This record gives sequence, C-alpha cells and structure tokens, in this order.
Amino acid sequence: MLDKIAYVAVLAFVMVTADLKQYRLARFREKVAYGSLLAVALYLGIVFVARRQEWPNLSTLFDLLKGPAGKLVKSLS
Amino acid sequence: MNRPASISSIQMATLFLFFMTGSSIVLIPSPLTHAAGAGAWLSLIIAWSMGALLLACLLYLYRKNPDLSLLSSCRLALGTIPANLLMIPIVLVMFWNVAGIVSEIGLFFKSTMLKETPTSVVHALMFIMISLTARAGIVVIARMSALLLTLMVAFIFIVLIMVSNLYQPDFLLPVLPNGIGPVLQAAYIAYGFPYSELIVFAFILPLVRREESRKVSKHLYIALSVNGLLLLISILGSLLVLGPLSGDLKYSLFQLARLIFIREIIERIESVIGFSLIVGFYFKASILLFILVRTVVEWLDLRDERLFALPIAFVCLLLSVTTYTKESSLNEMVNVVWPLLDNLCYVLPMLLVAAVTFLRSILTRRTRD
Repeated sequence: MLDKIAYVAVLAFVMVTADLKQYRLARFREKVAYGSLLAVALYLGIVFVARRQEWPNLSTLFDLLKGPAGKLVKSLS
Repeated sequence: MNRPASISSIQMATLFLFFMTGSSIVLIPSPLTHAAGAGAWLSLIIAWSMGALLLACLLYLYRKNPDLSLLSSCRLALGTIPANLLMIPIVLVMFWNVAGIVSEIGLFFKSTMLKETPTSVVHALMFIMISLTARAGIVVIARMSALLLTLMVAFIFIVLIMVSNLYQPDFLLPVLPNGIGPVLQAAYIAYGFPYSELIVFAFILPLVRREESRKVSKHLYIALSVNGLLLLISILGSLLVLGPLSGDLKYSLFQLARLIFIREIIERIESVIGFSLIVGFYFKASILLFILVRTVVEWLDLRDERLFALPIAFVCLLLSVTTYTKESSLNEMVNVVWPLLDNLCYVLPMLLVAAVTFLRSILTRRTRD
C-alpha cells in the first residue's frame, strides 16, 4: 500500500509543481476546472491505493453495455 | 498549445495515419484471425469500408464549416445546451480511450519484454511522455510524426520481409469455412477499433491551415487507404506464417519478429522491433490526449490549454490502473463493448450533427430560391 501511496503522491507533486506558475496566473474558471480534475484524481487515487475496484468508476458505466454488446456480437456470429 | 497553431494538410494526414495505424497494427491481427480465421482480411475490408463512410461524413461537416470543430458544429446545429449535454459521453469515452491505449501498452510489456516490471510503472512512464508531448502542441507532434511513422512502417516491412521464408500460402485457405458470421463478428471488432475512433479528428481538423483546407479530403482518404493496406499486409503476414495459430498468439507482428532467423547473424531482434511498435501506441495516445485536452478546454470555455495537459493525463493514468486491470476484462471491453460504446458516444453524435447540418443547408437553399 505504501508503494502505491508514494506512486500517486510523487506524480501528483510533480504535476502540481510543474503547473504552479501557470495556475497562479489563471482565471477563476480555470482554477475551478483544475481543482475539479484534481478532485477526480484524488478519488481515483483512493480507489487505486485502497484497491476498491468495486467503487463507482467509468468501467461501472461502460459495463452497463456488456449485455447489449454481447447480444449484438452473438447475433453477428 | 497556448498560441494559435496550424499545420499543413499533409501533416494532418500523417497524424491521421499514425492514429489509425499506431496501436491497431500490433493488436488487430490476433482478434480478427481468432474470430474469422483466414477470412480476417475480408473483415478488415468490411470495417475499412465503414471507416471510409464515417470519414466521408466527417469531411462533409468539415467542408460545411472548415473553421469549426465538432463541438462548435454541434453548438451551431443543435444549440448550446444539447451540444454541451452531448459532449459529456464523448469526453468520458475519450478519457477512457487514452487510458485504454496505455493499458494495452502495459499489457504488451507485461507479456513480452518487461515481465517483472509492475504495469503501473510502465503506465506512469508512458503518461509522463504522452502528457509532455501533448503539452508541446500540435506543431511539435506533427513534426515528430513524419520521422516516427517512417520508422514504424520501415520496421513492419523489415519484419514481413525477414520472415518471408516462412510463408505458407496454404494457410490463407479456407476463407469462409463457417460462413459469413465469423467474418462479420471480426469486422465488428475492427470497426470499433480503430475505424470508428476516427471521429475524434473532427475536433482538430480546423487546425489545418485555411489555404490548404481543400486538400484535406484527398490527403485523409490517401491516409486511410495506406492504413487499410498496412493492416491488410500485417494480417496476411501473420496468417501466412502462423496460420491457425495467429488467432491464439497476441501481438502477431511481435511474434513474427521472434521467428526471424537469418544464418545465426540476425536473430532474437524482437525487442528492437517491439520498441519500434511501441512508438505507434505512444503516438496514438499523444494525439488522443492532445484532442482530449483541446476538447475539454473548448467545451468548458477555458483559455490555457497547457495548464490542463498534466491533470487530464493524470486522471487518465489513474483510470488506466483502476479500470479493466485484468487482461481478460480488457479484452472483453475492447472486442465486445468498445465498438458499441464508440457507436453510441462518437459516431451517433457526429451523424446527428451531420444530418441536422444537411437538413439546414437544404432548408436554407430552398428559402433562398
């Protein structure tokens, strides 16, 4: 678990450090959008570190199409 | 990316060719031959034809509004609120699309060259590279593409020529032992990946210099034809050497490279070939990340594109390590769910916008008359 925390933290630190100068100059709108992306990244980071694959993610949405897509493939073959 | 940048029509076609061929040349032969056997080349031709139709639709929109991206065309045709709502699934799928390409790179390394290295490390290194590339902007990407594309295509031909002593033409028959069904199933896979993905280019076609906008159609069709030809020869090459086994062995071109043996002088060169093939994955991911960043910035009416390259790449990285982490689930996603998802989230919105634009142009013409 520690290695995963370090993995996410180091990458996040590098990203924020690289963007800090531009972030300070950005408008409020850009700052909100950047913050929203960081919030999503934080959530996904927790999913990754805690190995909570069952938590809601994009795959949860996409898997809703598994049934119809499977039927479509079967009908083709 | 923060200054207005434009590229030539040929550069856009090169990016298009790289995007369409990049990862598919390594990944496509195996699922296609697995589903359709020796009829895989027929499936590719069917999927390619569908791709050509989609390209025609995309170019129709471009001809109507050469300065507008798909998002702006959508806003013009449907209005701001419906367009913004339509963008939600497109952007979500694009996020996973970038993550999916990198997941495939991770799997490729895991099962071929870097078996002991954690996949998340490969993903992180890949994302650092693609985010810096996307941050550098379209002009830099376009300039890089010519050399790297030449390198990739050259290595593909080198592999196919060096294994030519192993070709067995008998493996190309029978073409349809179980009827047309398996061929259609394989065509469905190839249509989803890579052909329906070409829609994303509708977001960056306005980056072509205005004076060259007339040449775009011709160049993109040439690029699509070259892509079809490259995929076709890679499928035929895999079938000619591996025969029925080509469906069971992933990364056919890499497997072919392993078989190269010329008088004990040239052998075991698959790693060199493998890294050149990875260039295709890297470039496809970079182009798509650039398109994603540009689309998000345009959608949310933001100014500084450079600022968003890293956080978007970071979200994509975390998606790649938290979704479809098992090989079987990723394969099911790509081969079964992805074509339908692409149709719903990429193709359908574009067809809708094209249909509305077409109807509006007819109505406008009639009103004038």
